[in-house]
Amino acid sequence: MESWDHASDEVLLESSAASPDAFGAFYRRYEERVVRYFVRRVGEPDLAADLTAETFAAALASSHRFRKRGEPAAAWLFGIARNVLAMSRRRGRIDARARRRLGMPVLVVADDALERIARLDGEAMDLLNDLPPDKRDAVRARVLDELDYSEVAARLRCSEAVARQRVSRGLSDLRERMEGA
Amino acid sequence: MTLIPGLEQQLVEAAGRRHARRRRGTSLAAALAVALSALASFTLLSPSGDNSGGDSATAGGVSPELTELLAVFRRPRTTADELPGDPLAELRSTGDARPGEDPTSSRRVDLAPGTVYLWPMDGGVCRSWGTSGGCMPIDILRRRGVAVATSLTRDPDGGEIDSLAVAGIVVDGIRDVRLVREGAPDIPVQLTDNVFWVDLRGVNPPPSSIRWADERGQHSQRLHLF
Repeated sequence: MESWDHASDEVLLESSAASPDAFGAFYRRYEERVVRYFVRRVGEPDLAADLTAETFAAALASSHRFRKRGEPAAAWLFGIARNVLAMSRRRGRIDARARRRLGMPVLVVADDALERIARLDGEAMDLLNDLPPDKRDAVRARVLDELDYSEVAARLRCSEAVARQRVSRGLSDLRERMEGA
Repeated sequence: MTLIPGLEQQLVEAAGRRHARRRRGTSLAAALAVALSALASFTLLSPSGDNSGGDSATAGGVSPELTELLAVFRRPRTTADELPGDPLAELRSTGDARPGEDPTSSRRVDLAPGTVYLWPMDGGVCRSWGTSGGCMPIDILRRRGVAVATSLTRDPDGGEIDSLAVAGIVVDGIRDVRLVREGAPDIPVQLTDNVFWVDLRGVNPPPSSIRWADERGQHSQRLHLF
């Protein structure tokens, strides 16, 4: 089997049409970030798993149009994630249209997987909350709320350079704590 | 090991099915292309052939009354205005759309808190902002001038407010939109392409109402943020 682990995001998406395993590699690369994104917003691991599945199905269904938008793959994918969440909230149920179109079966997630997902959010949040307040607020604004650095600076009432520094040091601290956890 | 066992396999299989369909489709498309080119030759040669073409693919779903009401729909649509994903195909495949809902005519507006998309439906307009969205009849929008929506999410563990925002659609001619606070200065609202979106996290006291002006005078509406 061809290994796609070192291919760029763009290559993976563009190759998905001809090589299904390329999309599998793209999924592995972003699964955790997308799950974290949803579990942080909806709180329930099973809902987060369902929303993640729909997001990647929608990404697969529109992967042929990715290049036209001219934006990084992560921004494109999280744009889809936001849309899936918005549409699901609007309809009052988890969107499953992309999965139905692709003929994907209903996703059944076992309890141990749900526990892993729940821990994922809890561990990261515990570590984040243990950071000094200035770094915690900077990381929260940049990573969880996805603000630009100018917006982070405005929220924290500091210069953009200071905001960048706080985010960078906060993430560095988080990495060290995660490795030590 | 992935977090959601089985999902990667489902996706890879779905990608494989799409690949197989595309290959079958390519063969069929080649056959169709030959047939269509023959038909086109016949039409061009036919004295009664109508070569005026059609515009159905680009007609879009923006009604004249919506275009008249919201300047954002009067500017040409570009690829940057496209909604992420493939919302039209999804709506069509499930029959889950509002009547005439047409996300292919969407317009994108980038604001400080995030991106707003507007797209038409029959007799109305739909919007998506952040993780919220909805549709509104055009006659209500015309009558009120401003359609306001609020959004509040809380930390599932501690009940702490995660996000608090107010957003809205504003018809042409509305001016001086302000969020009014009790015992604190008003917050002027920046309008961009008929929409606004104000992040209210950390705003204390939060606004209790929104006020705006048009040719008929001053208007006010209470905000229910919590």
